[in-house]
Amino acid sequence: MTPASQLRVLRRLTSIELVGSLMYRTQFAVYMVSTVVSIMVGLFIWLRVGESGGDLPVDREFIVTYYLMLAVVRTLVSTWHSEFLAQVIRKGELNAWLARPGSYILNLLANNFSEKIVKMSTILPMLGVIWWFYRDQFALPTEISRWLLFIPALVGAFVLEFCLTTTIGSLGFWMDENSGIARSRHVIAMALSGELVPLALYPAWATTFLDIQVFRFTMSFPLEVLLTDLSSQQLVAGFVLQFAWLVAIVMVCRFTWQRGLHAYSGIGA
Amino acid sequence: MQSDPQVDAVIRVQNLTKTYTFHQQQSGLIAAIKSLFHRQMETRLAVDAISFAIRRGEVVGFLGPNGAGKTTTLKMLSGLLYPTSGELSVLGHIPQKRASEYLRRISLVMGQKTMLWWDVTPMDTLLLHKDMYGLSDDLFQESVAELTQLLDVADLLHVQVRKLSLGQRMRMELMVALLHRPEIVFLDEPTIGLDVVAKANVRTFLAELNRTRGTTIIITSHDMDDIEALCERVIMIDHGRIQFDGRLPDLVQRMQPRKLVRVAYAAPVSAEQCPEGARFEDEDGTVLVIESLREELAGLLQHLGALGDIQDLSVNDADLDDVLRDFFTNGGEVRS
Repeated sequence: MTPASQLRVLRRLTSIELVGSLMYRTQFAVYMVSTVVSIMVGLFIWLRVGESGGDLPVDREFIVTYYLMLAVVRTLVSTWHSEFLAQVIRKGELNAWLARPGSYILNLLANNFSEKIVKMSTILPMLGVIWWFYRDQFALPTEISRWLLFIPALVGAFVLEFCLTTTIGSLGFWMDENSGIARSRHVIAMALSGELVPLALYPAWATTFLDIQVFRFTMSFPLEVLLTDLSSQQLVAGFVLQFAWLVAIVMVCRFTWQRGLHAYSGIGA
Repeated sequence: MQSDPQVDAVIRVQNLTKTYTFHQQQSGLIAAIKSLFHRQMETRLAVDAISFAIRRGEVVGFLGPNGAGKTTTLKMLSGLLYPTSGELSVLGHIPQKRASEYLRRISLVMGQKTMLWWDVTPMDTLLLHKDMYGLSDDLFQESVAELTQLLDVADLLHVQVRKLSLGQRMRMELMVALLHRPEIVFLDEPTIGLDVVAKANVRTFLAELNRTRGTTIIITSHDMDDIEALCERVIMIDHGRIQFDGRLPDLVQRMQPRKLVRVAYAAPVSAEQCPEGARFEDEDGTVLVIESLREELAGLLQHLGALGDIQDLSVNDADLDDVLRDFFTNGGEVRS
């Protein structure tokens, strides 16, 4: 298939998936409430630490803006299909896709896009309410250059997340159960991506490791590009590292998928 | 009997083999704990060095008991599974490479797996297939109009799939699968779960498709009526090996060389005058049933005609279900 026809299929699949996602909009709304609550807990804790005289390397304004934007970035970047993909493989539901020219990966992308549309439509009003209470401390950058750099960092973060999730899901070609690995990865990612705690708040001795590990580039890096004064050198180093991780993870994902198809048994008719 | 690969074959299979590897799972807590440290792997031979060729326009039925290897063969032919060894060529392509050019020329219909999206209408899936297969607007409109008429689904195109009955859904599955006018259609249990009328509709449609478009059809089914209605050739697979490859009447003749003759007379006939092996089906002695070898049939009919006034006469092959039961309980041996 040509890239143009793949885009047409992706657009069509996204509209089909969107219809399905809208049927579960209440479930998504509940899920987004839990997302907002977990992020707000982090916000309140660090604000309290600051108010109690804690020696934080960031100010109150950064914490408010970081956590509100984290909710947006997390919704746009997070992928959740690893257990679903493994189940599709184990039940032989991949059969219908393998006999057609369209790739199942396109369907996974469409599923993610459609759910993001529904999730964003439910989370933005909730964030609007929180923003109202903290609007004096919420400060987005006005420089256009930061936003222009934020977009590729965000796209890179999504592709990294998508490929990591797809790789773990592809383990379903060999494993009866991959949920343990998927959940372990989720917990590690929460700690190392900046979701639980901004990476800027970690102790100094951990900085080198935190700066180069893959999970930084799935969430924290786009926020750093947008909200902190990274030097040109730091920006270049960050994008180079993100690109290097991207190439590596895309190759691993592709390799796992291709090897998995060799091992596929198409069970269940 | 196995056919040699034909020069004009669209499917060529040579020594095709597929093995599955899986771990043995014992029941119980202790076995579960043991399996944490040591897993016993097992290899199962699903398809064992089979060879055959299929010509363009043929309708071929794959028959065999559950686990015989027929669906695995179908999956390898359609590119779903990688063969363990052997050679496989369909329309000049190696199926497992799953090249777009190949997938555009075939279609796979699985009775137990859907290609339709439940939350939207069949038309949404048709439009998706239009993009997926790169169909022009004209071809799409033409194909939809033709299939809508053949399958009688005009009133179903815009109904949410989850609201369709099983029979209606299968007709839509066929429509979606045939939209791009494939040269070869692989059907895995296409009538499973359908009622008698829906089954008949599907069979009629497939026969028409083969007749009008010359589409090659490969079908697996446990329903012998499907096979009888559609297939001029059957390939019997058991324990992964081909046990018979030939015309359906030849199989019946080999397995059941006798014909079943049933004669209804206007008045009771004398038992003493009846040929050996005959039995009366009723109490008053007017309906006679007897089995006969094909080569002795002419003489037998002459004899039966002399017994009295015949009101009704039928000469039938054995029931295909009986033939297959006989075949598989004999360990897949074809009588010579």
